[in-house]
Amino acid sequence: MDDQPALSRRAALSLLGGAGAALALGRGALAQAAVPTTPAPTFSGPGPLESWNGLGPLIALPQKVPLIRLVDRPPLYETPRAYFQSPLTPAAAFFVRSNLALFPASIDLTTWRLKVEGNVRRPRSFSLAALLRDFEPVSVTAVMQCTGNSRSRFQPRRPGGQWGNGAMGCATWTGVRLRDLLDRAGIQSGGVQVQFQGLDQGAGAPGSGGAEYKKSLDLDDPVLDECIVAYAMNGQPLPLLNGFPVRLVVPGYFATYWMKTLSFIRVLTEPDTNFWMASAYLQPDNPRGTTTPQAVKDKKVKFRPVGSMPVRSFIMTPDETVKVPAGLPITVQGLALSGRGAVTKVEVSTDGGKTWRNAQLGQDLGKYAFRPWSFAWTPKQPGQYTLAVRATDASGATQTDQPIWNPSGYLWNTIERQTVTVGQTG
Amino acid sequence: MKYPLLMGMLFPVVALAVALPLSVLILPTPTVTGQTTAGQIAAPPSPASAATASPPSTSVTTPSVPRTQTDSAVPATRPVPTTSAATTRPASAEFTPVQYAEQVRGVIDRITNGPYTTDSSYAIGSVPQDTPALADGENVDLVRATCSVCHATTFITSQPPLPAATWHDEVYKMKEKYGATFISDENADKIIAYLSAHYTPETRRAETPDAVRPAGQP
Repeated sequence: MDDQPALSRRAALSLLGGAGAALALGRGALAQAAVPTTPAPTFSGPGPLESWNGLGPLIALPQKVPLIRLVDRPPLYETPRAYFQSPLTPAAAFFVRSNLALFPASIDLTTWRLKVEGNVRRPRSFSLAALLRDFEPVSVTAVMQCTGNSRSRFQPRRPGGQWGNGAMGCATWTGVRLRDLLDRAGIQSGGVQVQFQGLDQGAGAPGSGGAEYKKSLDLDDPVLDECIVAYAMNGQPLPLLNGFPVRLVVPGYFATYWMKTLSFIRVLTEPDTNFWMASAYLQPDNPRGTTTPQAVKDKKVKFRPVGSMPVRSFIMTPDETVKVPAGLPITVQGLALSGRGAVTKVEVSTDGGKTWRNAQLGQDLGKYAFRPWSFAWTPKQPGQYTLAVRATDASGATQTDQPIWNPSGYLWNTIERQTVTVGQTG
Repeated sequence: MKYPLLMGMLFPVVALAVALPLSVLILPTPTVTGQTTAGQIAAPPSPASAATASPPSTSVTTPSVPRTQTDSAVPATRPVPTTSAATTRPASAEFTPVQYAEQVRGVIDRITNGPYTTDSSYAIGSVPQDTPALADGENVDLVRATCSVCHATTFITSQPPLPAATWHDEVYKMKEKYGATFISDENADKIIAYLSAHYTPETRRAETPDAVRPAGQP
């Protein structure tokens, strides 16, 4: 570059772009970057977090769009609300959560294998090529939601990833039936659970929860018939941060079971007692997973591993950035989900939950998918309005305003609200 | 002196200034971010400008060390500490654990990977690490060193104010459930005392704008 003979100032600035301009402008340009501003808050509380999303800077990870960084190591990155305007979430915008810091950043498919082992007649080992070649590909559209999604709403607050509502997403997952893999290996009698493990590692002592991440499902759980070992989401390979080359898809269940970089499927003859089944991801043994701090203190609460997701619904538009003119029709839109049967009804209130009217259900991508809904609304008078949404699923469960509380901050599913300002039309 | 001539003389200096990672000039720590920031700012993405605007700073300092694809990112300035537990576990043949690299606060960035090859290896570059400062106080160094063996202290700073009893339970959960067996009872109590002194509803203060400094000040 030094030996280029005649470089005009204009060409030099053009070549250097913004950096050249900043250097040429000197103090002026730098001073603009130094205007003291209050940094965005990175924590909330002790009251509940009010904002739809969790707090943190937007940071892009490899193969991902900028996501809201809650924690950098291990990665906890939340999907911004704007990505939920359609029922399928782009893979690049899908939230990221690893329990252990040392997840794989490089996979060599000549040596990587998915092993099916334990209490089986023929332990098997499958390459990605074999999964693609030797099995019928199947697809399911399903919501994946972190068990702790919306943890920041809890009162009293609980430690953990302080998610807003964005630790969820919905994709069409394509891969191999878990049953087909188990059938190739042949489950022997005496099996009670099937355990899943990826390649994540942590710095904790061997055998502890901080060393390995393993999850198990009961062999008689009907969800096993729905599970897919997925090599594609929305028709694309999985991002490494979302589990390349394959992850387990457990439709209707919380994401804790959706093992990333699934590499071991083990049939167990005894119930799994590892930390991630026996101590973590436990909910009070009732459908809403709720109890009280006092009951926990008094050791009166029976816990069980988390499983299916209770019904939820969300308002995506309008959001807090929108001011609506009175008399102008707008469409309130959002998504609903349930892991316990299809969403059958979504109702919207424009008076904070006093009265409810049915919303229109949108495209049906299957009972495990986000169900879009819309609601035509023409606010007549200027003022502050509180929109609310509640959904009902095929099990008959309807969202309520009764708060959820449990020690780990799981299964939040109360009615969502959105304040909207309606202005004069002039 | 005529202006074009002046620019001609100054240009190598300006070019060098940009070619060096900007972070060296204006930011406290040299990071991968510096490289890619410079690459993004250089407007015309011609091969020549890309080559000069984002020099592989590691290969300048260690030119003789061949780097594999996954190693090509600048190593974290604070490498992830490992315990004996991690080192005694045999490394898996089929994958390389992720690398974390320091990143400047508030910068939206995409840490790039080296050029891909058509073999069967699939890799991403390093993952940005952007850890807010812990509150200053007694034993802050112990807390930082201990907790960051397994996770960034962002797990502390991102929490809501929590009662001291909750912090006690968290620290002992790390010790007893997450295998942080290297934490002595004495150190556990010091860590709890620190967290109680800075991160409870009574003691937590709003963040100071430590990420926003006047230009030219470290």
